[in-house]
Amino acid sequence: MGIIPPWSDLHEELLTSIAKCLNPIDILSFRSVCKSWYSSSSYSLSSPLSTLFPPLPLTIPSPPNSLLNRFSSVLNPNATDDAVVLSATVIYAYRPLIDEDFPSWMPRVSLLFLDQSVSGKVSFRKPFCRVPYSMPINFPRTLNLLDYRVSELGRFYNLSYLPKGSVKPSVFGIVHKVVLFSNDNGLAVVVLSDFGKLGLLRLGLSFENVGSETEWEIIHDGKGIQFDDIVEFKGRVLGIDRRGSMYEIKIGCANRLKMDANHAIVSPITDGGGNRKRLVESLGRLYLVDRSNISAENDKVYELNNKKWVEVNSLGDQTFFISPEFSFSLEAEKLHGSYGKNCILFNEQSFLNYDGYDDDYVKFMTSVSNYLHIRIWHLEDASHLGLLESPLGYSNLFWPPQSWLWPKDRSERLGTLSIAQSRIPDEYIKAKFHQLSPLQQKCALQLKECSLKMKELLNRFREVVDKIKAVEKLAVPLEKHSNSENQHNQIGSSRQLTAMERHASVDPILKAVKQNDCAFDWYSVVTELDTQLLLFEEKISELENALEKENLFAIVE
Amino acid sequence: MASTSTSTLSRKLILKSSDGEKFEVDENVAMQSQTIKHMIEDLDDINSPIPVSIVTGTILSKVIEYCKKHATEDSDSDEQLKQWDKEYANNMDLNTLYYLLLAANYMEIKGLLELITQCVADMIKGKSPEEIRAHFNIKNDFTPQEEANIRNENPWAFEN
Repeated sequence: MGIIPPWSDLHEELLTSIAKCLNPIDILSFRSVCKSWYSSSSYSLSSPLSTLFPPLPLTIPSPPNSLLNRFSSVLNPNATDDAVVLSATVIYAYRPLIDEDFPSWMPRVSLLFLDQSVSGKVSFRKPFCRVPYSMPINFPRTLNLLDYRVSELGRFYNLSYLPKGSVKPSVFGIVHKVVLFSNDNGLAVVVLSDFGKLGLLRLGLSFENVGSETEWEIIHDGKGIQFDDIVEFKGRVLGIDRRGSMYEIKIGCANRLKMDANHAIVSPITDGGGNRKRLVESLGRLYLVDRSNISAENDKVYELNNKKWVEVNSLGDQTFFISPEFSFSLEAEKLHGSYGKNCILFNEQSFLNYDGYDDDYVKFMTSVSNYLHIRIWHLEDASHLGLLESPLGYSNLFWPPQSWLWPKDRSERLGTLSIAQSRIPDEYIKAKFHQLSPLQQKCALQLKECSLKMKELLNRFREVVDKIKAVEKLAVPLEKHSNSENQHNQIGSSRQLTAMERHASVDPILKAVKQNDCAFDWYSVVTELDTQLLLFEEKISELENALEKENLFAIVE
Repeated sequence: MASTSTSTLSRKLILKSSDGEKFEVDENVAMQSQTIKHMIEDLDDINSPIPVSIVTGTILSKVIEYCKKHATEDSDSDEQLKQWDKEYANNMDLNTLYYLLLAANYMEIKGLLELITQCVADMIKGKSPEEIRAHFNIKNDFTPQEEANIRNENPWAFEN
């Protein structure tokens, strides 16, 4: 067997069996290897997206008002006319293909939240956000999977409605969680809405007929037991109530669930706990995360052990991610060197009080940079009031998207920004100004002021970017140990550099890099720069949109 | 057939590899291969060696190792057996895996085929096309134009 076996000549049948063990993203690579592998995989070219999320998106009947309760009419005035869509959001980790090209301080992994869209495209979400991201100028318009290493971390489902004539879905604000469940009878959707109600929609095996006869069932009306969270766990749908009792939500039986304390499969936790309880599956085990509304010290994590909730003090190597609509657990190592094991990342609204109020809200509001409303709970020292802020710590995982995702480098992005900015016409506003209503005049003035301020900032920014570019060339060969040291610095440093402060700080950076001064917190400067740049891009796009609207208004009048 | 009688458990078969090596195995070990099962049914004299024509002795010994383990599965829990499978597959080099895959396919041993297929799939996971080629020593036989076409099949377009 000295000769190298011809893997490319494997029988088509064997190649197909291998491809069947791969997920859609790996199939993309698989079929790009050689001709015979290409032709063996039955991966459908016409709809690469639908293979990622079969059989979604699916238009389904509108949930009944009794499930959507009193707010539904306000949020969704044309409920009967609007299509209701069940879709998926997939959380991917993506990395550059070749790590060596990147300086050691640059994070190699980033999380991407992709929404499946009815138009066959995907839309991008800011991590942990509920609404699609309005992509600013310069943001990449496509993402070629073969350019990155992409792996799926988890997925969750959304129930949204599509106002007539629109492609942008809006979420039902009071739907907390959607669980998609499949068994021998086909697919079923279980929805947890406000006041702990549960709705069920059986989709059956054939999805073409959904909508005609399919009807929602309210399987629990929120009376007696109020569910805080539902989860699919080992082929069963489980719900947890406010005291920590757990129930199995049986999809098979058509009637209302029999739910009283006698039917609980797990007894409540001793004191009932505090806020909304959240369930997280991790490595085949089920965890309960309970935050107290009294004090942080009363916040606890339990593990389901022999039909009992047993308090745990550590998550081991895992990181939990919790948002109102999903939870998942990840081995911190999968984040490729980004620290963060034994902690829980959660965003606002994840642990509501029982009156529906979010204690965290106020704390989130104090955040100077409110790009991401994510908090970290370190189990080691129970310090979980720390905000996840750019450019601190974990933010490299979330926001801003890594610079290697951008097709253009910073200088080019600045160039586009300046051009776009110059298109916001002072003259035009002047000429039209008198035709505008007082309110519009006020808007126009704000617009102009904003635009002038940005012009000034952009000029300064350009200088900074040029210098950063020079620094980056020097920084690449920096030794790896600077990376770990920098990370420690980031945790403690909370400074928010304004563009001007940064301007002043570039010369010391240059000096530091030249002297190979590894303790310098170089990474946080670059991240902050990228964050600011992205903010500019968002702002310019916003201005352009606002202007477009103003124009339209002026013409209509 | 004789396979229904209780004495079959102790019956021995002789398997002969493509390079002439002979292996004496219990019938219930060999019967995990559907191909051999069908061959025995057609054979009058089970004492003569059964040719396993495309499998070499080295590979056949590995196949038999797998079948032996799985013939006595009552002694191990499912979890232990899975662990054994994992170690078994991990100990194979890439060449052996290739011929084991062909052997499992030819001999129709479902469990082994699934194990090796999964093992190969795991090697592909998370790799770029170039890395897969390097790993399996496969030549890129696409023309630059074809390669560009495949690349263009893959982008995700973002909704504006």
